[in-house]
Amino acid sequence: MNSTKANTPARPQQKVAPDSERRLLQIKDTRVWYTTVAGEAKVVDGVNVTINRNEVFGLAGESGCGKSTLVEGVLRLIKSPGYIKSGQALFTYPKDGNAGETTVNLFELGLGEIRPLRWQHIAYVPQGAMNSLNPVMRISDQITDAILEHGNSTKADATKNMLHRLEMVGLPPSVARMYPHELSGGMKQRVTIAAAVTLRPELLIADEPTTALDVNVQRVILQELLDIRKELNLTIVYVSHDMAVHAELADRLGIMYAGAMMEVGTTSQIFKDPLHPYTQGLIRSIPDISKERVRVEGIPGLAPSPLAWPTGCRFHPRCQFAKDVCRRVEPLLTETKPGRQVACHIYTDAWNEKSPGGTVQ
Amino acid sequence: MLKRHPIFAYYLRKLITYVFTIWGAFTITFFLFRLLPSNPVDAWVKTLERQYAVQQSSSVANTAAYYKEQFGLNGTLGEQYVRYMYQVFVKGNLGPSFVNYPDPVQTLIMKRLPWTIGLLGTSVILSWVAGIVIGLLAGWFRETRFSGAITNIAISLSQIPAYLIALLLVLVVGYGLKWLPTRGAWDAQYSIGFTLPFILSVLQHAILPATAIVIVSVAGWILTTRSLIITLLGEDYLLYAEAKGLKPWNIMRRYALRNIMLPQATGLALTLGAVMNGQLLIELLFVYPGLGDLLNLAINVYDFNTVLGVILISIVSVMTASLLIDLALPLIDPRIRTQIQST
Amino acid sequence: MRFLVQSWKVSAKFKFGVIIIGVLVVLAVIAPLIYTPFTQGQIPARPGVFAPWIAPSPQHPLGTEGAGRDVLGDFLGGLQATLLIGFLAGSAALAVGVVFGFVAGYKGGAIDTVLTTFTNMLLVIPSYPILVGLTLVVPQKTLFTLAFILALFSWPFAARTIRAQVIGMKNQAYVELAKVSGQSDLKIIFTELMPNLIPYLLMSFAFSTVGAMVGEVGISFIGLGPTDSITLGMMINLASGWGAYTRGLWAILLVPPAVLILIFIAITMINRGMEEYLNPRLQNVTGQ
Repeated sequence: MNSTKANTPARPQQKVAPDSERRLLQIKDTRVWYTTVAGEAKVVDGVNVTINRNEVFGLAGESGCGKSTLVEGVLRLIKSPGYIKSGQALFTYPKDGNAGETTVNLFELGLGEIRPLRWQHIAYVPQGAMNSLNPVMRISDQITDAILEHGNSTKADATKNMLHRLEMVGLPPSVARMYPHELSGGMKQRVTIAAAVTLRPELLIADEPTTALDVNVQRVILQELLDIRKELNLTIVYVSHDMAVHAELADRLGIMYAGAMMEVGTTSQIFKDPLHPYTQGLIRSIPDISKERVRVEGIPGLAPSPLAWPTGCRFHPRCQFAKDVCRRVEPLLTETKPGRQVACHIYTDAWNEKSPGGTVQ
Repeated sequence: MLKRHPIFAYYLRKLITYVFTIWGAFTITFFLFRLLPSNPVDAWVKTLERQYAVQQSSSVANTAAYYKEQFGLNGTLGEQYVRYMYQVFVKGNLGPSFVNYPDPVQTLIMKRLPWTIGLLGTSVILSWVAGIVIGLLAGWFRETRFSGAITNIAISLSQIPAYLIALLLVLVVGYGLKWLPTRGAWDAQYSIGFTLPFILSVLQHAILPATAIVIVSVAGWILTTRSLIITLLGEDYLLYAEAKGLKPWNIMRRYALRNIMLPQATGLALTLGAVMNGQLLIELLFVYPGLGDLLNLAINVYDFNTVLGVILISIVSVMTASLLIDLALPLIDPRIRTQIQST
Repeated sequence: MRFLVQSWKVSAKFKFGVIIIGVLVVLAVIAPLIYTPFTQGQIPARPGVFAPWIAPSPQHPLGTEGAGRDVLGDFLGGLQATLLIGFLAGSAALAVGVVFGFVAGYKGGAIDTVLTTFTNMLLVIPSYPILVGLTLVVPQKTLFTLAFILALFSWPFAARTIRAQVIGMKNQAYVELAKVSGQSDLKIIFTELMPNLIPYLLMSFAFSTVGAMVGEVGISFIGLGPTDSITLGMMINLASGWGAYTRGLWAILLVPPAVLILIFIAITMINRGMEEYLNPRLQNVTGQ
């Protein structure tokens, strides 16, 4: 499906960009703000990250760090009083079948232009499958309506497609005739996954799809998701606060904190050698079941408010290594080696400089 | 059996409530009227005495006794009640009317019911359709100036009694501009029948009363629809429908409209059941030959049989509408069925 | 009180309604005092103190009507009577509704079943014919007895609303806590439930008031209003009796219904404003 080479137009590139042909979605300096009575809540405030083809990209971070808002922004589902303040989301996709690929900035598209992209190219598995299905429509209608809306398949084709996808997630055809309230939470979640892959989208964004489920169901569903991904060659952005899930699923990880990207790397890099003090804290907070007495270490301090992020490095009030420079200068997401980025002064020259206030690059 | 089939228990409970409430409401009404310090025969006898300057003679007493028996006013209150309930619910006879003696009340009601149903029923259904369409748009585009204006107008109109609007319409459109007739249901020059001039005349006469009712009740439907839609807009499944790339028109039709249909259809049934309660004065104002007009005629001469008959019709239609909804909901909405079965 | 202040701040509708009602109440209370000299010491004037159908003049700004009363005096007196009836009937309905609603909602069980069934029976009886029946025979049809009769049919609705709120509230943790700590039912009702229910009580009051006033207009409209005063509804009835249209007396014809409509709109706006404060989703523009 994606055999044609990308003809991505030349764009200002990061210092060491990943191979541009592998690039599917490039998020640049994105800000999603909310207008509140207390001022602007800068929920997502300057995120840079690139998603490559055929990878599972895990988006991690504590609740309230802006990861869900970021993907909602990419999906253009942000509702007033929220808005996309600035940034780019460059998405490369085959516009007219296999004729060639186009890159568009999702943030610049009108709502009428984004609509054909949805489901066909970017699909979404929502956070609360419990409430995401219309209670008064049969499951079948809720899956086929999207198929029929895009492209020109017949009703019979759409039904066949729908039943096939349900089978892929291990649901019997009888589910199609049911109403949402007749399904268990795990079954509803499977329905949303089945629905998301009906049109074989290039990108699948899954927002905490298993968080509300019990651990056993969670495991089964994650396995099914991995199987589907292999079978359909999907690219998945998987949002979760659960590092254990990421360890199982993700190829690469992005760690978000306070509306910004703190660290990006492969999953094994992040787990074996976390660079950012925040990431280190996150990894430490995973319970180690190999030890007899489980003692989970949390990160001291409270998550800051999006109404007023701390100056300098947003993590500095909770960081045990914080120095004067951290309080004054915001560290940028910088490459330490190919494919590995971190936003922390420790890994810059500035860290060892005697004189405070030197520019950090 | 009831334990094993909660749905039966549910139906049985609703049926018992239905019968019991009708009985209770009707009994309360019966005694309220019997406790009034007058009755049709006494009032009539008083008129006779005044007109012919007769004294309370035995002949008058004999006549009075005859009519009291005719109207079921003889004997103790308890006897009257038992006799009346037996006559109404077992024999299906509402008794003779006083306003049109000796026609039985059911004949009078049947003659006037079509006018009331025609005028009020049509107005209610019209307002329901219009209110849902306008309310849907006002809710969907809730942040627009249009929605704000519509909402404010609807709030303003929603609690005004329709007969005040009717009064203004009569004054301005009827008397002032002389555009439309303001009295009766048809022009006396036509005889009743399925002829074009008669039907046109009926429609023409219905415009003003219907408009008054529609203006007020459409406001109520707009407000309920709008608030249902606004609640709906916060639902995850609407966002999900948008993420699926459905056209806004399809989301509005297949998700929003569909999901508010159940509460709004319920509301329509209840309103149709209660249609006679609120709008009796409208008929009075327009001299419209419906039940409201009959009720007014009857009440002024203490015609208990007729008044109770009209009230019974009203109580039964309110209760039947709500019973039908209670019985139909579990069949229509699978969620309610599950809820009943799980309790 | 804080609730009213907040509603005032949040809702323009509430402000609008309060101002209108405030102006009308002030007019009804103060204006008659100022205007009494024009009507020979009484508002409304005694029938026959002036000649009928005097054209508007400095002595009679709106002229006199068929019974020889000053029309402006009729208006001011009617406004006073109508507002008073609404207030009295609304208060009475609220009082009964509170007792029924609290007992049924708080006690639950058999008491609740009996009270609710009774309330529901009253709710399905069309109130208008009964109102007419009662007003036809009541011996002393004063403003107070009429308000009492109207309250008879306004309270079931208030009772039902309050009961629903009480049931919703009594299962909340802080009420459970008070129960467990051994407080008496009355103390719980007055210290825990009542303060939280005040907004709903106010709304029920406003609703009953509107209901009673609508009923009063309906009764007076057909000529069965109180015998000791003139209400706005009665003015409508009198106007049609005098052939006010053919005489071109637009002031008598249009002002009473217009003022009534204004009162209904204002009270509805107040109610809506309180509702919007409690449930911001109802506001026109969300998330400002």
